[in-house]
Amino acid sequence: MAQASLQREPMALAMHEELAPAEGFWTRPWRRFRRHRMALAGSLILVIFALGAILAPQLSSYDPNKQDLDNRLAPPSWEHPMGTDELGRDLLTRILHGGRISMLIGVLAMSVAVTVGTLFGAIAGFYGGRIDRALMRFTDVAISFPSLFLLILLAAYFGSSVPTIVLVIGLLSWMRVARLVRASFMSLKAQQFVEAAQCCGVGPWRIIVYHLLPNALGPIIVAASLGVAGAILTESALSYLGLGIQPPTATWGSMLRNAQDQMAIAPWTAIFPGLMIFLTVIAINYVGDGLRDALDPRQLER
Amino acid sequence: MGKYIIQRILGTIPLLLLITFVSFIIMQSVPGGPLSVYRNNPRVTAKDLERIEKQLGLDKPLPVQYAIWLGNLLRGDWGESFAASRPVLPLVQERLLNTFYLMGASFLVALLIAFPVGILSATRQYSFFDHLATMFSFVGLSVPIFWLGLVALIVFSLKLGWFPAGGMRTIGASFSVTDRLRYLILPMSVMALHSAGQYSRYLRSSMLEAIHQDYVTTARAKGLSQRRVVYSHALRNAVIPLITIVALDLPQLFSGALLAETVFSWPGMGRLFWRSAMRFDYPVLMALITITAFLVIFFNLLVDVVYAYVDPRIRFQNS
Repeated sequence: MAQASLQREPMALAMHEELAPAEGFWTRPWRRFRRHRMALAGSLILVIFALGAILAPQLSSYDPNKQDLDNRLAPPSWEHPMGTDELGRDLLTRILHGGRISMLIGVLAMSVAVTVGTLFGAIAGFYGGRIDRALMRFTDVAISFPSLFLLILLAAYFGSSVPTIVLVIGLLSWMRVARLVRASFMSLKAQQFVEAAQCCGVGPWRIIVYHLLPNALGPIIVAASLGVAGAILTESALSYLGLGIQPPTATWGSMLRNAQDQMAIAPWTAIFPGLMIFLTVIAINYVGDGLRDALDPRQLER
Repeated sequence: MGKYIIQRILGTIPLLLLITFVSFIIMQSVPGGPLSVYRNNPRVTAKDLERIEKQLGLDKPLPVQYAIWLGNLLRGDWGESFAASRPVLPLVQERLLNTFYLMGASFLVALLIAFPVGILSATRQYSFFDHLATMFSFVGLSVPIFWLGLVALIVFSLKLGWFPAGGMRTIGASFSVTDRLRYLILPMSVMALHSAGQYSRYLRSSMLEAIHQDYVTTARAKGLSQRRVVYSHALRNAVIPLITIVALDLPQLFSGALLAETVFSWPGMGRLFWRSAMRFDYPVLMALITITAFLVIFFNLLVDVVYAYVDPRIRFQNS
């Protein structure tokens, strides 16, 4: 009976909280996440794409960089479900292998951005005053600049290996995370449990890491998921401009680089790689939206 | 009000100096230095290099060089492009106007789409239309601009033949509005779709917030029509947060324009920037970075002022 009313009314849930059996930290967010159908669909797409990238060598018998000049720009067929490119390479195989690099760069660049952003935001939000003003001024400068311009510059100058691209993208996209973390730290540090910790003589770093950070985790996770989407888009744009990972290595962006020259005769070379970027990014964005609903209940009513 | 504006203008000066100084340092830390183009040229001897270095003042310490560059900039001497061998300023000016033309047009179209979509999906929350609009904004947010451009080119230019495949106007033809429009529509729509999705989403959520405020309930209780309540009470207040979002979005708009210009061979400054970066043409790069930074900061300032004008609370807080 109590169980039934729990499920029907969210308000009742809060009231019965003390009576309900102990549930894990993730139980309630997971219940909310499951209600977001598009987020579930997005997760499914991401799992499939990730498996496709991981199992790429097993799924396709072609070599992604093997040229077959007799079969250049072949339209989609049973042998080549997505057709072949200007050097006769199998497009599907290149998409599977390209997914490895594109998704890897997305995740790694996001990790860099989240680390830097959390560090900046945590210090600014916790200490406040002059440190906060200086760090936020710096963040303002960084955020008010079209990042693609700087990316082009840095990629043109410092080359485009995977580590460079990861660092460059990561170091140019930490600003939103920094602002988020700062905002939640500022409101958190005014609360009594922080005061209590300070009274017990807990040092500032311990408070930041063990008391404040776990409470700010929700927005950070949401920002991180959206960060992966942003990084994948940025990498693909850079590669499209010829400044990303260099040939013959396939990434979804670099596959589009030559597509424009041959789109009149082989539109499939332009359509499929971009479709992969689009589907991945929209799936991540929906998952991020679901995570926001799940981890930040205040936003739920909107 | 006047005092507030002056305060804000003074506040932007150190910001501008910082941005240009950082870009200057990046330019100088290119592997091989700013003269790397010449260094790779076998016909340029070590002696020539030294002479050029002295001529351009590159043997002086960095802060001094920066001061000289800044002084020249203020006097209207923006240097000369390495690649085009012509003064940077006129080169950049022309490209800048082309970019403004594209960005302005797509911005207007984005607002024209975003307003009705945002208002309707807020007033009919959770309706079929609202779900459709949400999907639209997720698509706009997630689609790579350059890929959307490619697909648009394949469909509307190659298959259907409705629009030209790139450029800004028919070369050699005299000016005509229809000709300009035919070239403008594809890049403009691609950029507009991207922004409209975001703007309508923000407008929806700020409209929802406004609709649930007490003064809106009061207006309803007084018997005002739904139309008046939505448009003259709720919308007015919902637009204020949108102004900030649009201003914050400006750097993204520049990045988007760069990609659209590349796909549609639009002779704008984004494409110029990309080509200059490939050729290490650093006087042009510095000029473009300075102008973009200036514009972004200027628009942020403008928005702050508009904000203070529409929202009196800010004015009083600061005075």
